[in-house]
Amino acid sequence: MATKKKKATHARRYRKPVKWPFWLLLMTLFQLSCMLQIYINGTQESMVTLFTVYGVYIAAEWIYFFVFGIVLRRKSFEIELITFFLTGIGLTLTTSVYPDRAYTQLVAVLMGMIVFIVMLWVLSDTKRVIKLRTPVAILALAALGITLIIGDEINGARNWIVIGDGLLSIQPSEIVKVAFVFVGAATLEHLQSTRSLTKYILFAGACIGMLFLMKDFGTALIFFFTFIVIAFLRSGDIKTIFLVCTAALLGGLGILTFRPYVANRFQTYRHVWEYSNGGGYQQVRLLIYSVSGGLFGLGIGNGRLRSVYAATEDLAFGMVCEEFGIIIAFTVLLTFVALVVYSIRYSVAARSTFYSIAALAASSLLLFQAALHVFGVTDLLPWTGVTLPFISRGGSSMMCCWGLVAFIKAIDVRTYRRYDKIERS
Amino acid sequence: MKTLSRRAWILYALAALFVAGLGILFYTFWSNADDWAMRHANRHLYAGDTLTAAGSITDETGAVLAETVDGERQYNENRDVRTATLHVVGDSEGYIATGVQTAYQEELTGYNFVDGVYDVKRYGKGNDLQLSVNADLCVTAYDALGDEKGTVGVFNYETGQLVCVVSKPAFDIANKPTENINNDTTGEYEGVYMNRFFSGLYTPGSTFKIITAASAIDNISDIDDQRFRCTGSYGIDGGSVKCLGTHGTIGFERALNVSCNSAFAQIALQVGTENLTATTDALGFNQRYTLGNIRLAQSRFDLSEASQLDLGWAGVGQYTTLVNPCHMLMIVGAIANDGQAVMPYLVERITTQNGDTVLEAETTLGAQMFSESTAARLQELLRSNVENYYGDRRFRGLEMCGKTGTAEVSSEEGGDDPHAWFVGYSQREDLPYAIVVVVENGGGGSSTAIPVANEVMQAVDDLYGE
Amino acid sequence: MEAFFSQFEYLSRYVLTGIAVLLLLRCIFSLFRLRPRREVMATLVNLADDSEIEISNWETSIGRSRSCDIALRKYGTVSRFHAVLALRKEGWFIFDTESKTGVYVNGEQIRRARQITDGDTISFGNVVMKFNSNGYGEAQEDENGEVADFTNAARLVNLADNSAFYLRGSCLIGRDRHCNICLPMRDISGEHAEVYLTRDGWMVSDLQSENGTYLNGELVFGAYPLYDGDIISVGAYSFMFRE
Repeated sequence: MATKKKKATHARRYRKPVKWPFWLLLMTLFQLSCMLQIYINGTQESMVTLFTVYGVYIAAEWIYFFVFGIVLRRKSFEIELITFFLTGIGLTLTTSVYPDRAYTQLVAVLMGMIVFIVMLWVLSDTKRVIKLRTPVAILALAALGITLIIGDEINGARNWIVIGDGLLSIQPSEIVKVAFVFVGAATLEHLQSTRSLTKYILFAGACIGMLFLMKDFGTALIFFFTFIVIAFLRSGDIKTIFLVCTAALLGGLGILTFRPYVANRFQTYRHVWEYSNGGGYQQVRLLIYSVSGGLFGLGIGNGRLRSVYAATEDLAFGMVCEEFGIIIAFTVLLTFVALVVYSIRYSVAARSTFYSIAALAASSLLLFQAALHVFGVTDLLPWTGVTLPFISRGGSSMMCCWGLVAFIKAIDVRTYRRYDKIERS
Repeated sequence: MKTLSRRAWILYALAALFVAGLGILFYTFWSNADDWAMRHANRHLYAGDTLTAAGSITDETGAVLAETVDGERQYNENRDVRTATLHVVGDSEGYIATGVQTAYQEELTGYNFVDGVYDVKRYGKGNDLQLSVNADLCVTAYDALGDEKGTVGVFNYETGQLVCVVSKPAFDIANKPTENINNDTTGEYEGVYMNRFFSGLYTPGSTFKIITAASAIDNISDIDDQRFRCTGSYGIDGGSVKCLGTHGTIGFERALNVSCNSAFAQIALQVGTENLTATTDALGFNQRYTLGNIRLAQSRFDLSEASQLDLGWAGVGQYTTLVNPCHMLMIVGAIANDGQAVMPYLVERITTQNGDTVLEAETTLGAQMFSESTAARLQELLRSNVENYYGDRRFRGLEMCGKTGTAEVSSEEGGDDPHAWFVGYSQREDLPYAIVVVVENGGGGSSTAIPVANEVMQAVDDLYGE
Repeated sequence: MEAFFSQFEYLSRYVLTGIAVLLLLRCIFSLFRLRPRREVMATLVNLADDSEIEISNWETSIGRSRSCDIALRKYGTVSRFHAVLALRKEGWFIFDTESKTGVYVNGEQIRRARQITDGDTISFGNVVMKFNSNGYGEAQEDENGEVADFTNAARLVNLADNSAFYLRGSCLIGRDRHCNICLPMRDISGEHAEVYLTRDGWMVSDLQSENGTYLNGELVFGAYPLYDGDIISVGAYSFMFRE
C-alpha cells in the first residue's frame, strides 16, 4: 500500500502536454505582428509577396496542427511548435531582407514540412528503416561524389549543384546530413551482431573526405562531430574514438603545415577589431549591431546589419539579436539545448536503439551547428561560416533541419499512436 | 538500451558546455556593450566619424551649444560661445577626451543595454544634456585670458556647480583649423585638445603655501607667535631657497601676505616631511578624482626622496609638486566651506526625448579636508592676503579671499616665464563662488592672474550676486 | 494610421519578446520535464531458480557481459553478447546475435530471429527462461481483419500485477459479469466506473458507486479527463492510465 501511495504522488508530478491550440494562436499572433512590422517598414512592391508568404505559412501551420491534432488526435506538439516558431523567425528575416527570395524560402519550408512528414512515416516501421540503411548510404555517397565532379563553387566552397542556369541551386552536403544520421543509427540487435565500427568509419571517412575536397570545412567539422557522437553511442569505445580524434587532429595540423593559406582563414580569430575593415568586417558589424538592438530589439526592418553581406545566412544570429532582441536570440539558442536534453531523457524508452541514436545524433548535430554559428560569428571560436539551423536562409539546410527534427520526434513512442483508430462512444 | 542511455549522458556535458558558452557570450555582450555600440562603425549613431545621434547640449540658461539637425551636428551660432565652450562641449570625433560629447556620448545617445539604440530610432536623436556652465561667463573668462594660454574655473563651493570652465587655446569648432593644428610649429595650438582645467597639471608655486600653512596650523601650536627672518634667501644644507623679496623679520600671517619663501621654507622644515605629506594626503594629492564621467589629472606630491633643501622648496610649492587646477579649486572651496569639500559637477541634467530625467546633478560632499578650526584660521589668512596685501580695490565689492602664485617652471635665467596663479573665493554670503586662474607663463601671479580673476568674478557677481 | 503604427511598433517589441519567451520556455520546460513512461512490458522467469526478470525496454540485450541489460554473469555457456529481445510492431522477437551456443525457442534453435508469444520457453546456452508478456505485443485483430498496432492503444495497467487492459471505446469497471474489467469484490459496485473516449481524449466518470472512484487520490465527481500516468483507484484496485 505504501508503494502504491508513492506511485500515486509520483504520477501527479507528470506534466501534461502543451495545449497546442492556445500556443498555436499565440504563435500566429507573433507571426502576424512580424508581418505588420515588415509592412510598416517595407516598400509597396513587396506587399503581395509579404501577404502571400505569411498567408501560406500560417495556413500550413494550422493545416498541420488540424490534421495531426484533431484528425489524428496526437497529443504532444512541443517539438513542432518549436520548429514552426524558429522557421517563422527565419522566414521573417528572409522576407524582410530579400523580398525577392521569399517565395523560394517559403517553398523550401513547405518542402521541409513534407520531408518531416515523410521521414516520420518512414521511421514508423523499424523493419523498413533497417532495410533502407544500405541504399541511403550509397545514395549519400553518390550525391557527394556527383557534387564533387559537377558541383559549382560559391563563396569558396564547391558544394553547390546549380540546375537550369541558377533556377535551382541545392547543397547536397546539407541533405546528406540527414542520411549521415540515418546510416549511423542502428538497432540493438544489429549493434550486438556486428560490434565493430569499421563499416561506419569507412562511410563517415568517405563523406568527410569529400567535404574536405569541396573545401566545405564547416560542414566537414559538423560531420566529424556527429560521427564521434554516433561512434561513441554505438560502441562506447573510447580508445578507437580517441585514436580517430588524434588522427584528425594530426591531419588538421598537416593541412595547416602544407597548405598555409587555410590558416589565413583564421588569422582574424580573437582579433576581429583589428581587422574591422578587412577580414573581420562582418563579425565586427555583427557585434556592434547585436548590442545596439538591446534586450528587446529594434523591430523588424529597423536594423542596420541587414545591409552587410550575407546577413541572413552567415550573420543570422546577429540579425535576430538586432531586430528581435537579445532575449529572443538567447531563448532560441536554449531550445537547441532542450532538444538534446529531451533526446537524452527519452533515449531509454525509445522503440529501438535506432531511434535513440538517431535522435541523439540529430539533436546534438543541431546543437553543434548552432554553437559553431553563434560562437564562431561572435569570435569566441574560429569562424567557419556555417548557418544557424532553421533561421538562416537556405533551402537545402531548411529541409535538412526538418528532416533532423523528424528523428527527434520519432524517439517518442506516442508519435505513432493512432488515436483516431479508437472507436468513440 | 541501458548501456546506450548511460552513454547518452555524455551529451549532457555537451549541453552544459553550450549553456556555459551562452553564459560567456551573454557576459561578453553585457560587459562590452557600451564599448561596441559606441564604435564609429555603428551607423545607428555615427555618420562617418560624427556622432549624429546625440541630443542637444545646452548651458545653464538653456542656450543651445550643440544639437543635431537633419543628421548633422550644429553648434551655437555665436563664434565666441563656440570657442569658449569648446572644451566642455567637446568635439564629435573624440579628440577632446573630457568634453561631454565624448565623455558622455553614451548618455547623449541614450544607449543602454536594455533598450539598445531604440530611443535614437524612435525620436531620431538621443538624450538632451544640460551643462552647469554659463556660456556667457565662459566667453568673459576666455576673453579675460587675453592672448595667454591658461585656464579659468569657477564653481559654487556650497553646491558644487561649475559655472565657468575655460581652457585656452581653443578653436572655433564650426570652422576647425585642422591644417593649422596639424602643422603647428609656433606652439599656438599646443595642447589644444586638452582641457587644462580637468587634465592640466601645473607647478603650484606660492598657492601651495596655503597647504603648508594649513599643515603648520595643525602641527605647530605656537605658529602665530613665531617670527621668521628673511634676507632674500634661506640657506639649507649648503643650498638655499630664494625669496622674491627681502622681508626682514616677519610673523606667520605677514609671511603669507607677502608670500615669503624664506619663512615658508622654515615652516616646512618645522612641519617636517611626514606631517606635510599627511596634510597633502588628506587634501587628495596622489588620488584620482572623477567628476561623473570626467577623470581629473592626478595631483602629485612626493617627498619620499626629498632632502631638507627639497623639503624647503616643496613648502613653497616648487620641487616636483604638480597640481590640477580643478583639484586646487576644490581645496579652496573646502576652505570657504568650513573644511568640507564639495565635488564639482559639470552636467546639470540629462533628459530623454520624452521628458524622463536620466541624470540630475546633486551636491556630493567630498572629504572633510580641513578641520573646522583650521578652515576658519585659513579663511582669516586668505582674507588678510587680499585686505592687507593685494588690496580690496582690485576686487571691487567682492570681499575676496585668496592667494596668488608665481610658479617657476624654468631654473635658468631667461627661461620660460613662470605660471601665474590665483585661487580664491568671495566671502560674501550671497556669492558662494570660488575661482582658480592659471595663466601659463604669464609672469607674476599678482600682476597677471588677479586682473583675470577680478574680471571673471565681477561677471559672476553680476550673474548670481544680489 | 501613422500614430497607430508607431505605437504598434513600440508595443510590439515587448509583446513579441513576451510571446516568444513564453512560447519557447513553455516548450522547453515541457521537453525538460516530460519523462518517458516506463512499465513492465514482459517478464522472463529463470526456470532454474524461479527468479523473475522484468523487461521494461523495447529492446533488451542478453549476455554475459556486464554492459548487457540482462547480465547472465554466472553462466559460462552464455556468450558475452548473446541475444536481443525486442518488441516490434508485430510483437515480441528474439534475435540471436551471433552467439556461440545459440538461442532455442521451445527447444528449437532459431536461425536469426523468431517471434515469440506468451508462455514460450527460451534457452540461452544452459539458461532456460519462460517468457510472459504482460498483454503487450499480442497481435490484436479488429473487425476488418487488420492488425491493429497495439502501441496505439490507451490502456489501464493494474498496479497489482502489471497486467495491461487495452481500452477500446468505452470500458466499464465493476463487479458485474458484463463489465470489461470485472472485479469480484464486495466493496465494488455492480457498475462502478467508466472510462471512455470523447473528442477531448479519454475521460473517467464514476457511475454513482457506493464507495466512489478516486483519480490520483481525489474523489471523482462527474467526468474527469485522463492523462498519461494518472491513477484510477476502485476499491482496493489501482490502475495506471497509459497512452
